[in-house]
Amino acid sequence: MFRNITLGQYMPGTSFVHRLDPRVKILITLVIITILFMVDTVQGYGLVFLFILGAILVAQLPVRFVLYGVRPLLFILVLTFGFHLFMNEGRTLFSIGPLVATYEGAFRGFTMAFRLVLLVLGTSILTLTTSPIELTDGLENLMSPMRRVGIPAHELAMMMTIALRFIPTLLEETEKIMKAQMARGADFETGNALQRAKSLIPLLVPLFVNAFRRADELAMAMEARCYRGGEGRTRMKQMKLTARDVLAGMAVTAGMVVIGVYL
Amino acid sequence: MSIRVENLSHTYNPGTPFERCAIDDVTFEINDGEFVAIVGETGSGKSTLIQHFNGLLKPTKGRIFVDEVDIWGKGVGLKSIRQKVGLVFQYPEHQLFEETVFKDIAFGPRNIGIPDDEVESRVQEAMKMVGLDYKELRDRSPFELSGGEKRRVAMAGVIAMKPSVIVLDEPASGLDPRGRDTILAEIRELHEKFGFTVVLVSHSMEDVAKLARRVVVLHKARLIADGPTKDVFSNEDILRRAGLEVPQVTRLMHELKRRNMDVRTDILTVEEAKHEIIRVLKGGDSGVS
Repeated sequence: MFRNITLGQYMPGTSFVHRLDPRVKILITLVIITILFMVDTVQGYGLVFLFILGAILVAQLPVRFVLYGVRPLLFILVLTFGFHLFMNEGRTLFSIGPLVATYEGAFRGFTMAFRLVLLVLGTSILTLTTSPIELTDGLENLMSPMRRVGIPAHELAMMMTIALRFIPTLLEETEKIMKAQMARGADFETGNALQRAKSLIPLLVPLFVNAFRRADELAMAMEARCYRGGEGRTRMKQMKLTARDVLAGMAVTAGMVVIGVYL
Repeated sequence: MSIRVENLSHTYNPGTPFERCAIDDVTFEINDGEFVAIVGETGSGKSTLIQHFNGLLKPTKGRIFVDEVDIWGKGVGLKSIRQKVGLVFQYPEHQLFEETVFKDIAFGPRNIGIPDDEVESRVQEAMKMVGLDYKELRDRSPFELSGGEKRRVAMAGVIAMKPSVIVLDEPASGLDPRGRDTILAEIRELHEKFGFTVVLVSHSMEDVAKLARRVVVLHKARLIADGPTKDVFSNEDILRRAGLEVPQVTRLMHELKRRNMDVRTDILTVEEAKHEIIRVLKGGDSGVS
């Protein structure tokens, strides 16, 4: 039941996008996010959308699968559209009681919702084509200049790596414990709010106990291999910018800036 | 009570790139009073299969009958199925959550609506069956027990629901040799003394050889052999194909045969092997062992 989460999942591959330097991919994603908040016209959105679609195709990701990733957002999208539809001044489209829907509102609402969809799609390309390790290595590297102002870049990245690494484990564990309790007649689905909250105890207690046990074991295993923070640590895989990375980064940035400034 | 599996298939994540067929068209039946082992490599589909027995997983295709009732048919309460078919997961001690051993074991019976005074006698009985001292342990926290004790508490939690079939997924994994032997002896007792139908999932062929009368072999989501333990284990090819080891004594007998000692090869336990070798060495020819 938790196996269908696409957001943040990595899909191994060898495409051009997969092989790009993670730092470049992170920066490109940041550029796209920035531009998405600058564009304000249909043409602008259209071009960003085409770019994202193109990137999905180049990355050889199954388009339908990527689009599915937007599904959890559906509620927020409807809410956003609804608010904009009724909260804007302008020509009346229709009205329900005191609520007046306007043409301008519909347009606003649609573009805002579309913006959210593009945000999710854009960032999911990053996570789908970059392994969690690459991603955090990239982030660590990008954040490392901030060490001078006291931001522990390595520790943050390590925490992220560990968190990401254990998401699937925890989900699997949750499912397993749920099943084990269901086999003992537990019921997680019916009853009022209080009963349901209570029914979670047999799930949450073992989940926490196991998580702490696992954290202990992991800490021990890391210390046994002499981990003691980021100071002086070397890496097996060095990140190197190639001409291809630089070109891709510059091309996308230039294109996006043009879209952002002129549309 | 019987469990009948008909043309069962199960696919995880259908329609996504992570689609994986874990059970492919499996048909077999577990009869009342049997001791059946389900064996196969990691990833062969054993765990997926047994989660269908009590309706924790819904088949993608095919049907499951418990006592001739289609468990996914209309108006069938899954709770009653889960009471009849008790499932003990691998590392069941990871599911303990209550403050006391008593409360944890009572969780199942209470869920199926057993009145308090009967719950108490059931907990007492279940603890006795798995060799735990009721008086001494009932008010202890399950978290301060030893690994083997925790596992027994978890097993008692399922037994206290009075199922007629007990399905155990790798009940001995992660225990030391002594803990292993005791827990397996207790499982044998559950079958022989208390009359439970037992389904044992394991990849230790030694354990299976000692305990089960019948073996079902899964390989890559399919059922590739089903029959009396002796027959299945004397067919080395099938076990090889399934990526399983023949029990050591059986391998020894095969080796002796290869070196021209005229022994039988359908031997599963050390005891049997001893008799057979003595018989051959004495030059006897009666096949009785």
